[in-house]
Amino acid sequence: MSTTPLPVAGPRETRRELRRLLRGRAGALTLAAAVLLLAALAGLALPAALGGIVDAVLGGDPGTLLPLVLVIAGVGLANAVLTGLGRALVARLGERVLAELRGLVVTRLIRLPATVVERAGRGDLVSRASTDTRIVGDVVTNVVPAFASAGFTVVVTLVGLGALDWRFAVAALAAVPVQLLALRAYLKRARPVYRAARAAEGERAQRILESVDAAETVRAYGVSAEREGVVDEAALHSVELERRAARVSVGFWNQLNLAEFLGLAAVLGAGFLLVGADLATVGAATTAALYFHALFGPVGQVLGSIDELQKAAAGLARLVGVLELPERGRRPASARGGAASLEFDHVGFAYDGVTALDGVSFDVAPGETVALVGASGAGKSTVAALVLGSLEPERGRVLVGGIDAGAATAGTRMPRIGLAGQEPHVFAGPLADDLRLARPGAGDEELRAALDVVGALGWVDRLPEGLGTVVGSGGHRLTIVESQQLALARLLLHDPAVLVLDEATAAAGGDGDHVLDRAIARVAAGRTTMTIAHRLDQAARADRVIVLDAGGVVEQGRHEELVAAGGAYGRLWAAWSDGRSD
Amino acid sequence: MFRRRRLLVAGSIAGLVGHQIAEALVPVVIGLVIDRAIAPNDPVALAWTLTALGVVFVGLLLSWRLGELASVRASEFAGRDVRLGLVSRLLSRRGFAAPRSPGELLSIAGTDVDRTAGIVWVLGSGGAQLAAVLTAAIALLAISVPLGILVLVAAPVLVTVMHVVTAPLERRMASEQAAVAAASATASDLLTGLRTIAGLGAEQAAVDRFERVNRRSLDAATRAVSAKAAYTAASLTGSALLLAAIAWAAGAEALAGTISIGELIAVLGLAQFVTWPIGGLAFVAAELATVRASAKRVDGVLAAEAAVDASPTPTAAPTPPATSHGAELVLDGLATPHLPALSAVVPAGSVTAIRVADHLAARELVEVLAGARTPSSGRVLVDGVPLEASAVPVLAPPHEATLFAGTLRDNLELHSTLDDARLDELVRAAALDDVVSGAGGLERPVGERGYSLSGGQRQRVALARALGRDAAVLVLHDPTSAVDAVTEARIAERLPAARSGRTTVLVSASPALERLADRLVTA
Repeated sequence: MSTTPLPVAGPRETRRELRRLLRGRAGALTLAAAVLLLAALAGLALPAALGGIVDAVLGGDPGTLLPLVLVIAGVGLANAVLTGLGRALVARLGERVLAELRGLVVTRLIRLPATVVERAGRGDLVSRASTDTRIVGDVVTNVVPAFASAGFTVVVTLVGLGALDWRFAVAALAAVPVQLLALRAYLKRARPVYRAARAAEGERAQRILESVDAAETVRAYGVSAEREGVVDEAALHSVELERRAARVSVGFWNQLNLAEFLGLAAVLGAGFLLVGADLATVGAATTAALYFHALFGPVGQVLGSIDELQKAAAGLARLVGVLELPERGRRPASARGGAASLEFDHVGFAYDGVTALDGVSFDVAPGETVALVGASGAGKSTVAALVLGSLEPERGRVLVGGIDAGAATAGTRMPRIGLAGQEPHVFAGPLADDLRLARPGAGDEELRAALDVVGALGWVDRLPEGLGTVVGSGGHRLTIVESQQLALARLLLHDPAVLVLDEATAAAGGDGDHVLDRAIARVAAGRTTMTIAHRLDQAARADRVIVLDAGGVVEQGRHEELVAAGGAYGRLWAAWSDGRSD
Repeated sequence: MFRRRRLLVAGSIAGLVGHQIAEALVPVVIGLVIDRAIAPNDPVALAWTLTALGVVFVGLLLSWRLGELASVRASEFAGRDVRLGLVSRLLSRRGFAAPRSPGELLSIAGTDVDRTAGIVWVLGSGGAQLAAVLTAAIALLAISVPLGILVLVAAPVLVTVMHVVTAPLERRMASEQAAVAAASATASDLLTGLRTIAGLGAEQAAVDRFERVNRRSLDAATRAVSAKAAYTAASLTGSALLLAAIAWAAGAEALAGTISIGELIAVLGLAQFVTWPIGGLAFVAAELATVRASAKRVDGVLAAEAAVDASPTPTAAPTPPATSHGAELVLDGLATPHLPALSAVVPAGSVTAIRVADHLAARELVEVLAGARTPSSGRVLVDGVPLEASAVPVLAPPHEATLFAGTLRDNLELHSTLDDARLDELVRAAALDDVVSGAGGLERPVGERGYSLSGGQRQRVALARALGRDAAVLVLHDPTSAVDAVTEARIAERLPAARSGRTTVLVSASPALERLADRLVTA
């Protein structure tokens, strides 16, 4: 299946979304700007007061020293408090906007139509939700507040320099062309190098993770040294790119240093001419030079952040792009428990024009257990997705409890449907939270009861912290059988009327199969069950077997009947059961 | 880790120190320009003082170049060394007595290694900041002894006060950054399990769970914002007070005529400058603590207790000679935590099925045969020689079919070389025709961990990979559990020919495979 990545928003859409997010927050935005402006003005008074001391000394005026020192302490304190406050206001505003956007994006991703998800691949979804939100988040937290406060300082200081004498400001502009050239070259060279460096770092992490995950295999095959070589190759590549990135960055800062020198020399030169022509005092020249010297930090902060801000803008466009996608139609409310009928009425479905199902019809009575059998690609998983409602039939109807979900009106109560797949995900966090996903608000006793039914209570109680043990990614690692048991316990808590088991025990192997078979039998009791079976003993135990081939039903009936008939199923059974001793 | 890079580390520290000294000299030269050139309006003095400023900037530029590039080089290569040592320990045959989660190991091999190697930066920038403060103090001492002493006394006091103020803030910020990262982690976890969520109709529960984490993350971020603001305000306050004190003292001295106007300006410029390195020094202790904690985690893995004693015994060559023949395997009262004493003889060249009821016991048995576990009692003999001392290649891959990013061919060969005829045989033996006939054939990329293949396909690739090794003894742990019945029957038909003349052990295999065994042992 070809992949279609999730969309990326254009600059106009991104700006519109940003404006929408900021609309209700105009007051907070104005306040933050006002505080940062005041902070920059207070900061401006410092070099002015220092220049005043120089003039006081030159004028032999000891009386003004103490007031000037108090001014320095006073505006210094004001600057300190206002800068802290202003940055906090900007950061808080940014964090709120970020949290709202993150919530919108993740909610939309969770509710995407299944077809969009399958086409985009889950990797793209995960990277939008984690990598992109993290990139934007890091910039909002670490760059935007300092950038905003430095930006105000630069503008206010340039104005202050001009107020001192407009010719100082003109002299200071000598630095600007070098800065602009440096920035342009930096953005052009840095972006590909940084991108390559991040990609190399990702590749290295990927190879390490793969080797760690496969450590047993690597040891069994005695290829440790070769795997180390594979990791080291990626590590060396990453080192090389980091060094290249460092050279680009050093070049940029060197050019900014050059700009600082040119600007400073020009301001001092202007001071020399102005003082010589009696147009300015030595104190004013001092103030101008100190102003310019105090600009070094903020200018570097502003110019150095532009790259980060651009990266965040790219991440933002990818997040806003998600919001342009449609939301999946909400399924009607469902009622717990019981058993419901299931009917496929001339159902047809195709993936990107390739027919998966064609005119499939069958009925399942309430409480009946049917097994769906067929080779890979026969359309078994498509049937499961149609029952679940994550796919909608292109032709024909799928009725659950006599209700067509696609045509159901608001207020209709559908029978509840549940599905367990081949590779169940164990959600990261306490085991109890994993179970509560299926029944929010369930008490510990309910959870324990469900675990007991699927035969998992024993090992759960032996876990270091029982139900509270952190499982899933980064936590306690569960075996395949344990993960499957957990998935079955979730199904039990979900309490569906129609149960779809998609090769739920395919990967367990050995006696794990028997443990799971017992658990499945208990979960399925009293429900309508459709099992997509790899192992034919599961089919043999079902009330009825439906054989799919190339998108159509080729046989259906009781196991014994089909075996006796000697058709497609009979041949499968013969191949499978031949030599079975138990 | 820097033993071989002393010169590089010295260069990086020297560069960063030189850069800070040059930064400290800029205000001194500004004072010089004003005092010698602007105040007396002397154009000659303007020329040489501006030249001096240029010289300082050249020094600043070059030392930064040296310090930055040397630091990056030293820390990157040191990081690579540590990482490689770590991976080598992770993959070593000795294994780990207490298993660790892959998430934890990845975080140690990533963040912790970077932080450990980052010691170059902590030392370099710490040394540079110290040098800057000392340069400023010496310049001030040269101008006026009391002013120099003022800075020399105030600097350590300020560093200590700021360290005391910032240390708890640092800790709080770190723990809150973790809560912020949790939102991303939860989102990515929920989306990875999207199919499971859809199967339970649990979309709303998933959204609610994310919103809860998102709110917690916002609260934590808001608290971190306040902590950061408090830190910014505190450090700027300290700087302002120091600046006011120096300005007062220097202004009084200039009025009394003990220092010149140029010296006053240099002092004021230095006072403005010196507050930055003082602020930086306040962080050095916290940064060192971070480096130490990371280094300790790395050491924890490097020094972790081994699962088996893999001392000097030579490991078998990965590619056995082409003439390799079967070997006899004897299990002599072999017991592990879940496996009660098992004794069995696997004749050379036979296919022997061992039926183990408990799946944990089966796993442990395979681990023992792979040399990854020491049995609680009993032993394994290969042609009469204990397994751990045997030179006969015994291959016992784990049941989980782990593939690697790369092509199908890469995965089948797994760092060996196989010719096309041999690859064709393997494809046939493991019934991989459907996988190979797709676009790309053997050069088809299988994606990260082989995830672009289905579970059954991955298992068949793993089987072909095991067969391709031609090991004298091959142990297969239920190699067709994820394969459908028809394909399994085909594999069972072809397996004996693929292993003819060599010894094959099937642990807990399906009936279709057990059927082809010469002998059946029940544990």
